[in-house]
Amino acid sequence: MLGWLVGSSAAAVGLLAVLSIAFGLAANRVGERWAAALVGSATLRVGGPADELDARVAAALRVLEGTPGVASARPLSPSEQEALLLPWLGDRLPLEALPLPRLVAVGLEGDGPDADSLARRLAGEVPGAVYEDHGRWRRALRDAAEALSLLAVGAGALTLALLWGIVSIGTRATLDAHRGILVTLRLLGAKDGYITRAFTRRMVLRAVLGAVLGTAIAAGLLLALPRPDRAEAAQGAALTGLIPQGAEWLALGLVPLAAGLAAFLAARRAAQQVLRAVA
Amino acid sequence: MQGLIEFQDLGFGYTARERVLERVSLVLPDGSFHVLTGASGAGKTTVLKLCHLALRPSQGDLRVFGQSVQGLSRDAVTATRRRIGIVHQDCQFLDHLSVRQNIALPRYLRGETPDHFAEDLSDLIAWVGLEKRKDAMPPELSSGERQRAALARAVIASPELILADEPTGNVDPRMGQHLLSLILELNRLGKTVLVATHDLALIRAARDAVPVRLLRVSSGAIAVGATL
Repeated sequence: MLGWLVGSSAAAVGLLAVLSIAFGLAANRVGERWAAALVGSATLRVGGPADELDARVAAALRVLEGTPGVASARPLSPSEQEALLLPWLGDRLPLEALPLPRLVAVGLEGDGPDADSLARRLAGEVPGAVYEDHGRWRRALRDAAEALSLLAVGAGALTLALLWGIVSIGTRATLDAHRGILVTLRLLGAKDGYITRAFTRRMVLRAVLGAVLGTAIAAGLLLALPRPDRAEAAQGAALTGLIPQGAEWLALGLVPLAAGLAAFLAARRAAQQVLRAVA
Repeated sequence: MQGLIEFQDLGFGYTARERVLERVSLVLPDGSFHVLTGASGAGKTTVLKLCHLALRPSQGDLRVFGQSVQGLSRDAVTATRRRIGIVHQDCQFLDHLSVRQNIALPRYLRGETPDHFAEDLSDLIAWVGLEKRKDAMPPELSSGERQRAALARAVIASPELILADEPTGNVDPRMGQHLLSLILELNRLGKTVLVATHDLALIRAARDAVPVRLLRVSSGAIAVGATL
């Protein structure tokens, strides 16, 4: 009964640990991809009355052309701007009728322009122009990805701690139920290490088998998720990009080993504590 | 005089107020045969447990094989126990193992493989007359068979000292004589024997066969060379 409890708990722990690690890896991967996509580019937003926008954009392009760290500057076409807004506003609004600012895609070289100096020049020469170098978005994305990864690692560690607790309780209960055997073995000349190994081996075997089963189920669930097509992947599809990639599968394969190690340490400690009470 | 077992002003009590043994001094020389007798509850089993290191003295010192038991590590206790064969009153078998496996247990616990002790095991099983019952499980054995299996288990690892707690307690007189003859044979082979019993017939039969020192436990003391 206790053996089944340890085995099934290890299976649940394996499943949860694998899923948390997969979520963490995916969050990190997507965050890195998004951040990488924002490296080397910036956006200039030019606002103002509709009849002055073309002139302001032209003035902004002149400023940008002479700015060190700017490799290219290209105003987005109305259709490109619509494509950016479509996911947020839908296709029912007449976007062409809205007083939208114009966007200029800025390609950067090296460390990019001195943002403060550029902002001052733009303020003087192009009213309503705002330069955004994407740096704060990149940092925010990285921070979010790191936080999600840490959360996933924490969840994985918690599940292993849970397994530790279950194995400890299971080992103690098993040893208590077999106290007569322990006493007899000790009196017949068994060393503590021999008895500990005998009980630890069984617990570890059950924990590893359970964790392997849980890992296999979790891997099956991950494989059953819809796979992102190339375009989605390029955009960093968050939910469909959960499937581990390449070496990440190896990391998931470490879950049964970690479960086995946690079970071994927990069972050995519990057995040693129980044995200390036997003469 | 140095012996296999030495009690030096030894005192023991299960509680601080109630003393089972008080300032007992005793030496069991190598190769001797001692019979420990006394009323039920006098402390016979306690003496055997002390000798087997299952209990530690509350006062004084106990030396087993020349080594004080005070401060012995658990592994050192195990090493000492491996030089002692014990027959418990209730035999203490592992019920999920066969009689043969139970008898072989002390050798398994020393890390030996069955091919190392197969011959010894067969000889011992024959010696105690359990050839036909070797594959039975302990609960299937009669009282006499259990005592014989326990004796075989106690001696399979060639211990220097044999402790037996009421080895004839639950068997008929004929089986009691048979068990005694086995224990006497072990003593003739040089083993030191300490038997706790209140079976007078067994004590008399032992005295007729070998030089026996009688020890009587009473009121916390052990009288050496007591008469029946």
